[in-house]
Amino acid sequence: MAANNEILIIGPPRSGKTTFLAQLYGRLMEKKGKLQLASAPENIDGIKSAYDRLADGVETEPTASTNNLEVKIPVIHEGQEFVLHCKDYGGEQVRDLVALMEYDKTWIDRAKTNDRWILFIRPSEIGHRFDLSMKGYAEKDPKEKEAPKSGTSDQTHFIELVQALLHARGTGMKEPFDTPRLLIALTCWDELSTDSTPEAVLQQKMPLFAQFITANWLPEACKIVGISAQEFSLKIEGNSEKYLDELPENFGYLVLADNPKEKDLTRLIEEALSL
Amino acid sequence: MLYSLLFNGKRIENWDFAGSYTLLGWELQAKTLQVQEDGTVRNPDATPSEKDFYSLYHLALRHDGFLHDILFADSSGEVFSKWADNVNDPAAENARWIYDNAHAFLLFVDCKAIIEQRGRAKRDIVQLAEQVKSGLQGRPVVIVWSKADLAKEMRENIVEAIKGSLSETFPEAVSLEISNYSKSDSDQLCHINNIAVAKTVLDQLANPQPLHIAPTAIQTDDFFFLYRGIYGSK
Repeated sequence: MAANNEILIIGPPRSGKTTFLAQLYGRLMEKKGKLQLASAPENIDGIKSAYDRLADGVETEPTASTNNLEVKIPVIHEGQEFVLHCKDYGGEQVRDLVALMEYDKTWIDRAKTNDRWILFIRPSEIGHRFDLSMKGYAEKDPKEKEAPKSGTSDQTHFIELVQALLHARGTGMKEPFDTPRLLIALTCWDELSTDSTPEAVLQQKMPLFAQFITANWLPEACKIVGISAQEFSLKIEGNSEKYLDELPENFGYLVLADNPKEKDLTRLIEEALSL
Repeated sequence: MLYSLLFNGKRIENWDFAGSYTLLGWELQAKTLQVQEDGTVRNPDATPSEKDFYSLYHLALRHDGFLHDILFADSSGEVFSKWADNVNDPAAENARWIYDNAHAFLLFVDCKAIIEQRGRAKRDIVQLAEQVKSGLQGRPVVIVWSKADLAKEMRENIVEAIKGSLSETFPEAVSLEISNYSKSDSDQLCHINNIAVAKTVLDQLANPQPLHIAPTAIQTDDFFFLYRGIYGSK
């Protein structure tokens, strides 16, 4: 099935969407990557604050929950000029899709009109659940009258999120499908301090989610990559100075199959477009 | 335990997890197996035995390229015991509904109950098994010995009596022992057999016993029924 070039970045709060967009814009301005700025966007309000903060050497702030910002950036990729629609929104909206089990017209439109989805997952924040199947044996809780703690696990949350968005899009799951194309980006890769591949990290952190994806997507329509848009925490003393001295556009990398430390962040978009 | 195992990376061979309508329900049960801060587990609550309690857990599983929607009915042992003694018992409405609508059965034999109740437990199991068989009409049955980590504590003569009775009632049925507790990874009772129970029943559902229908010889002079297609004239 043919897919349009509209990209939707999906990610819960603190998954790194805003930082990535600000860093991406910096790379586009540099005009050294696979995607380059064709002409200045009319309005960069949507990413201005994050872009400014990184230039100051401080971390970006969470996008307000009700915000739906869009920046239209004219870009050139392999001689073709098109407009990249960078949409940023409060990650709480994604969290609420699952928590409230409902989606509004905005999300129906997003799910339907964007044929390429980039799902941001921050592996270092995926909670590990230690249960009887792993522990082997445990005594029964004597105070068992207490209700179990409510709230879903992170893994279940992501399965439910993707199911909800596929439902909003109207994608049937009877047969494996190729659209929407799916790029899974494991964000804040630097926090993991690992030599593993992104596929191995996803399998280790969320094996049931990984199974859910491979059972439904055709293999050529889905890919997993790692990304560290910022490269290191700016809260650690001295790191801010690095950003001020050496400029934000020189930091951040992707973990791709052909290069485990690809500095050209625009290749994330290229990967999404090549699926 | 099945969901906990899938959650932590075990797989049902050839049955790939493709989604679920009841993730929150699975989560709620799986959470009771979560080890708490004080090192204990809560264990699932007993299934309510009200006649109008219905609880279904859904898995979408892809097998040989086809998507199968599987519903697991969680039912209380008490209600099924009432149904086993009297299939028309007004207090066993949900058991009746499950029996009428299920495509396959997992018959649980509780090892702990056999240790504690001995002959009485045997009586209940045998009665339930007979009732399950009465209107089975070829639907698969898998016999599941649960809490089998305690198996050695059961009286041998009672186990033999139950096994003998079940193998007479369901001569074709596969029998598996399971437990929530494991000694290592992979543990036969916990990790392998809990998954094997699901796989066994799913495989049987996907490959039903072939129907043995004897073709009847057509005895007629009507040309319409005698026509064997164009091949017949060659």
